[in-house]
Amino acid sequence: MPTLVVFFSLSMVFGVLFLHTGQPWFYAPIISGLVYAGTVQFATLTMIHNHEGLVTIFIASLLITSRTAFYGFSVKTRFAKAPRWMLPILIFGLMDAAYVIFCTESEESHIDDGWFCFFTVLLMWCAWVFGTFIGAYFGNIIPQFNDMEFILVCFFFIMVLKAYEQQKALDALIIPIVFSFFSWWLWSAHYLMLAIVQCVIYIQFKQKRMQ
Amino acid sequence: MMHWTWPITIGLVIIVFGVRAIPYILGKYTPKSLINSASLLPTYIIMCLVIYELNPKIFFTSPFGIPELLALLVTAVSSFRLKNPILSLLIGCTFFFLLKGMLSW
Repeated sequence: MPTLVVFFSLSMVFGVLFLHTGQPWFYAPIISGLVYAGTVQFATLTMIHNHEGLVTIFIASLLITSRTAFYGFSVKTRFAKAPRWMLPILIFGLMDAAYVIFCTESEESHIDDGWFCFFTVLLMWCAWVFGTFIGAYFGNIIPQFNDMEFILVCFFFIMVLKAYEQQKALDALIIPIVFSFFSWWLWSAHYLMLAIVQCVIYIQFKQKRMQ
Repeated sequence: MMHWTWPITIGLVIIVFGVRAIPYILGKYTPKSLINSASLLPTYIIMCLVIYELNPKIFFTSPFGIPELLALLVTAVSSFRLKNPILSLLIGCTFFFLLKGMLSW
């Protein structure tokens, strides 16, 4: 539930922003439904606004979205148990927030995990498209909010705290912050990707030491 | 840029779905250690996302990210005390927006 609320408000922001680029309002929900990638959509809007070229937009999107490949690796064994026809849909719906839900809701707590994942993805997709629709349709009435992303920050932070209560690993809270700032200082355009790669390497070392 | 909307959209669809399908297409060629560490990864990545959404820039310009940090502190305390994610999300966000509103006032 909290995810749906966060999602809805964020996609509404996308709808409103989309309207400001001066395109017909009904394009926004269609794009939201097809692309279905929050950060990429926001980034692309900014780049279209700045009149960047097609190649720039595609390369930037590729770099931004490449983190979802890492998500795929960590849920692969879990998705393998779902029915075959479901797999493409699950892959399609594997975005940041969906992944966070899959991490916090453990596999064993559901009788039929495949269907649980399926409905999670479906509900989130509906919330995303419907939110964009509302945002774009009523875009002229809704006042534009600054700092809307903070809702998402807060949401992710609570998820981290929840995971910390389960795992009791303090380095999971500190190491990413250090890596993020280091990568930001190194290459501020794509520091998220850098930070994630550093975390992957760090975990490899940590596991070797534990063995 | 109006006539670019559809080429961009189609390109994005291909990129996004292609990347998400990589673990399944190239599954056999990935090192085993990466798959083993997959269960540890989530917390680290989500923490990275927290920083990413916050944007480190705010810590180096006035007011140095103090409202954000205070709001996250409130969120942390409330989530440890109340054990209710929805409530602490509401508390944290309300606190943040009030603080921001007070600052711009």
